[in-house]
Amino acid sequence: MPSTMRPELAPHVRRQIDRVSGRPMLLHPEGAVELSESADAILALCDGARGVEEIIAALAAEFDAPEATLRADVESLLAALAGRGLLKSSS
Amino acid sequence: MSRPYGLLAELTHRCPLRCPYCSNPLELAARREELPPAEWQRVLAEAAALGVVQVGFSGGEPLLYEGLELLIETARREGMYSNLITSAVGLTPARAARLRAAGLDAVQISLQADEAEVGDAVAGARVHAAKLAAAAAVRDAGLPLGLNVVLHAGTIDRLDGIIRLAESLGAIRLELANVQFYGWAHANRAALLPTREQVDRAAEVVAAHAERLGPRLALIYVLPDYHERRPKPCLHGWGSRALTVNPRGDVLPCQAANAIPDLEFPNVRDHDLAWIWRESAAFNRFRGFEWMPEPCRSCPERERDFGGCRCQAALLTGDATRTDPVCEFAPDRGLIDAVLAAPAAPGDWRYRPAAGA
Ligand SMILES: C[S@@+](CC[C@H](N)C(=O)[O-])C[C@H]1O[C@@H](n2cnc3c(N)ncnc32)[C@H](O)[C@@H]1O
Ligand code: SF4
Ligand code: SF4
Repeated sequence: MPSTMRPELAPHVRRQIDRVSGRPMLLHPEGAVELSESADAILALCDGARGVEEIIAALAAEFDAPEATLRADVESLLAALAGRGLLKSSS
Repeated sequence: MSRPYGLLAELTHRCPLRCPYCSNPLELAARREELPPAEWQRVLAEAAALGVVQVGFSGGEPLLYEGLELLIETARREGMYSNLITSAVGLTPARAARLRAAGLDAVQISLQADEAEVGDAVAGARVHAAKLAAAAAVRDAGLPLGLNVVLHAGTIDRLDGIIRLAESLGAIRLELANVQFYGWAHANRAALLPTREQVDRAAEVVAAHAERLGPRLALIYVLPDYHERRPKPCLHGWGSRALTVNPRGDVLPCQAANAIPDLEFPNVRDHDLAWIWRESAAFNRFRGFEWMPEPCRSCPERERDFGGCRCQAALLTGDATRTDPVCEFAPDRGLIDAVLAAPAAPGDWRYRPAAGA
């Protein structure tokens, strides 16, 4: 994944808090994906303006975790979502 | 017991098209039997409270239901993601903009084929060109576009053209659904059933395109289950993740469930959805594994396929508790093999009536 990209959810994907479980979730035409708190924190930063490096830096400021771990989390989440067509493809 | 995530809201059985593969039941609901919008609003609120996060507005043709925009607004207000499942007849740019403004999240348009001549012959109406225009209108309104094409003996050889058309229309998703034999499709089985050679070839064409397209256009290929050796799973399990409400207000665990003659489906006019989901006999009938006969009862596959489709078992054997006849281990597999061996009659179908159009 090129580190210059500015990730953002695809327009057909909605991120919201589930009314029944109180947990974050993604909705798209085919279904619902329950998110972990850390995935939700990452996606909150994926606004199409920040680059991957900025997202990692923002996470590092917020959470007490090694940068390598954060980087691995961000990259694997983005790859998984992109593979399912849930990320905006351009940028 | 788990919660439902998805609701299929079949607003009407009325439709301007006459697809011979239509999965709607043979006894189509008349307009006067339809639930009014206020009842649907209550159903949507009850569904959201129960955990439903996704609503598919379908039918029949949901665009014919007066109050559709109101229901989309209600779904949005309740925090649910809404998808319109439509033939797209009547989906003008102005209507697309109104639907979007009401809060619609996505649209899925069905096409019958890649070319007007074939598509119009299958639909039993001159609609192909209007569908292409509607697809453009959906995109121009800023709504995500999915497409659905039902594959059968008359269209499965056109997959290459169908996939290229979907690409040119800017769809994000194309569902290639081999015809499932319920409702009118069951009545027209001999006219629709593809040959083994056709389905083998189709699988190759889909795989080649999927490889080329990647996530740009998601291809969802629904298997032709008569030609398989194992049945398709009963949803994610009977009464486990989804429910369907039909135009009369009957609540079904699956849209095909009215194929099961001895189940009585609860109606939203008599009970709230939470009771129906948790307590009703129909939703509890095939939950878990207790109801299963052999060979399913002692088969490890039961965790994955739940013994196959209850509705198909009922439709083919008259007994919904039997193993889905598609399964190679089913005592009734001979029923499927006999259908596969019977002479085909491609194109010789009876159209479903364009009810109330
Ligand atoms: C019953 S239709 C109702 C909505 C609308 N009239 C339409 O055709 O899009 C819902 C969806 O099921 C598909 N469908 C209809 N009959 C089917 C069958 N026998 N097997 C598989 N899919 C079917 C349609 O193509 C459509 O995408
Ligand atoms: S006849 Fe065709 S367009 Fe109408 S409801 Fe059935 S599948 Fe949809
Ligand atoms: S025997 Fe029953 S559980 Fe086993 S594969 Fe066949 S249908 Fe599925």
